[in-house]
Amino acid sequence: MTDRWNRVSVTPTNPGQEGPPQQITATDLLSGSVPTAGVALDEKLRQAYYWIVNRAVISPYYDMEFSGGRALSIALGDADAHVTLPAEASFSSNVLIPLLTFAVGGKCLLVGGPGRGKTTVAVLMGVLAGDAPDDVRRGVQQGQPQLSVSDLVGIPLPADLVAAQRLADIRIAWRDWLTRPVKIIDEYNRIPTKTQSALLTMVAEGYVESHDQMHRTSPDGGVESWYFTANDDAGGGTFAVIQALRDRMDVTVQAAGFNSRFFDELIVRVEAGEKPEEHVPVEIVFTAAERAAVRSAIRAVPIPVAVRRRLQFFFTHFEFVQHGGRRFEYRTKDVVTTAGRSVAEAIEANSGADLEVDPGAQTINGLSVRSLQTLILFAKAMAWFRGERAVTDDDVAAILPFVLRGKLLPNTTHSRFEVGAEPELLADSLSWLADLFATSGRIYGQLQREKDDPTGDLLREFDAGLDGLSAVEASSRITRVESRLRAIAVAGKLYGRDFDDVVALKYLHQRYTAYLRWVERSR
Amino acid sequence: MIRLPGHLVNSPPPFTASDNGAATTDVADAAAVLTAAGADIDAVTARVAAAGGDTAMFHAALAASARAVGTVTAGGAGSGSGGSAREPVADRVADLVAVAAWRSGAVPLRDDALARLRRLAADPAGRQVAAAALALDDAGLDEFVARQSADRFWFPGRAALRGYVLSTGGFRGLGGVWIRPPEEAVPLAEAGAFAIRSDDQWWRLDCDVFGSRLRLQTARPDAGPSGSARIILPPASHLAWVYVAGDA
Repeated sequence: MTDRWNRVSVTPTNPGQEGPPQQITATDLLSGSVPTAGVALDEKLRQAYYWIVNRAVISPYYDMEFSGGRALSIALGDADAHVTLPAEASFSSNVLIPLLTFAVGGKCLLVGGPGRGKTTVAVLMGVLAGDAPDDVRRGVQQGQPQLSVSDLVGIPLPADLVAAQRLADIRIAWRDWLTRPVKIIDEYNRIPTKTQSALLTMVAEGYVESHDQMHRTSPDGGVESWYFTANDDAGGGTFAVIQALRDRMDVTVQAAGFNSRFFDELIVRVEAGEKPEEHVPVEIVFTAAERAAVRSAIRAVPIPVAVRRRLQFFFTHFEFVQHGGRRFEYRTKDVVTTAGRSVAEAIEANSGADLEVDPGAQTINGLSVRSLQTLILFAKAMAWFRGERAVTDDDVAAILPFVLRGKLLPNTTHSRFEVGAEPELLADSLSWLADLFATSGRIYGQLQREKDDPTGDLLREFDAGLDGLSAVEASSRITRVESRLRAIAVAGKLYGRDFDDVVALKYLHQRYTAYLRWVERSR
Repeated sequence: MIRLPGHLVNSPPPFTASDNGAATTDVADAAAVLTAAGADIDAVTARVAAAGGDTAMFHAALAASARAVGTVTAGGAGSGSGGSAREPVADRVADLVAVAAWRSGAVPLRDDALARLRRLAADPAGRQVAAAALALDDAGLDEFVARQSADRFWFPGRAALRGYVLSTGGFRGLGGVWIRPPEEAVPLAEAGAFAIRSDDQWWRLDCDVFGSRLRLQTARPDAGPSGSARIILPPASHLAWVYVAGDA
């Protein structure tokens, strides 16, 4: 009887331009080196994805859509619902996002009600990394209110505790799961705060400490991935999740519900007592070297200038708030928040901007550097997974909501969320974030920033270097910087993009004036 | 009846359970062969699968050759009753693995398997083993090896099938690869290679008598010279057939 699990796609999941199959010998079959058709690593990752969605996890969702502008949208019912039929290969986020996390060595938070496959997906990632299913399941750390740091990381050897004259003499029996390539923390919002702090050190720094002994948890040169599960991502639970740990989640993905049309498959699994993680085909298991190669390949995917400019423009909207402070550089949401005041009130008080069109008015915080770096990495991973040579706007649009979920927070008092069906976006933050990015793209197009970016021109001129720049030319550039600042000043309304431009122009002004002083002293 | 893609050399199935009394002994006998070379059956099987071979047929072919070795060492042709495999000569394991993998449809093993077959055919003990792995009788082995050197699609019985060798593609809804029937096919420069167009997608087919590989291409591959083998596209069918002209 054939194994119904063990069927990896034999036709490639993405088109290529291949030649004939490379000939191999029996020695290759016996010794382990089989360069058959050179299954590329991105193709292997795609095969893993399709095996999981077609065989392992019953997931008929295609919420990460790629259409190239050719999607077919069908209105449903009378409550403004519609379903989109994408024109290109599209993907199921509750499988793809964890898989991309596996590829880049990131941290993924899976949220959703009980019994929706969150832990199953995480365990599958552990098996893809080469661990046996039993070992992966035993290594899952179950969050519970009495979980201590010692329970999590290991205990000092009792004999050493008795005999040691100093802390350095105490050896720790470190737990095995600490060095696994895939680490799974179930229900992390049930872990006590003190233990969460120990977890944070592992997640953030890659080491754990106990009794002055340090143990490295991230493999040297290797790739480790973390998977956390929770029943919600509001930060609550038995214990509130410390913000620093919540912020370490690279991506957040919702576990999907079960589609009843696939009930027959569920019955088969119950009758056979089968678990998908016990049937992972060996062809889609990644070695440590392959995972390192995948991560390197992902990092090497270029981001074209046009995509960078759009993304850069999106970033500018959110930090600035007009009445956040007195000094211009302190007019930020972070200043308001750290002062314990309400960002929503500060936004509301701004009469110097059109709050309806300003994307920044819809959020109560800005973007951290960490989230920007994560977005860049995962956009590259998305492009690499799709077999693209460079990151496209579609890749960024697809991955951005999952990266920024729980990091870019909505201003719930904004009038946008009171009109028509818009309150839905307060629950559906992924759609809200996708809409923010799309809105930013429209504004970028209306301002014709691709062609008309005076501040960008001045920065590029500076980036060309100051070698041999004469004092006259330096003075000329200072004048152009000041002129640009005055042009922004007369515009009247100030938005986040202007805030970033003003700060950058001040930076240029400082650099040029410092250079001019140096030139004049050198005479 | 809906016809599915496949190789006509496998119809009827070349290795049947009645040959050895119990299909499950195929894996055990195949494992015995590989153990002699210090190889693990699961690992080798996975590599054969990665090379495009059918794992069940690989086990069956390897087991058949192992039992042929047992038959020979027990006292000559015909004296065996299909019983358990004897441990084969260790240096022959690679020969058996190559031939069995190629027989199971792993096209990348073709050149290596043919080279080993020529050597095995020259050895009285080796030729019985080789014939068993190919599901041929001893008398037909020489002609097979000779014809394969010039015609990668030849097999005994092809003439009775009027030159048809294999079908590929199939309707995607039934496990195949094409949504619409293929409309155009051209030969490519490499032996056994064709380009087939379905809708606006081009696919590359690399095949021989035992195995085939179909790959989606980003653009139409460059056409090559025509040979005796060509692709036939029956109207309104999702199958593309490899056909060799000239068989009586």
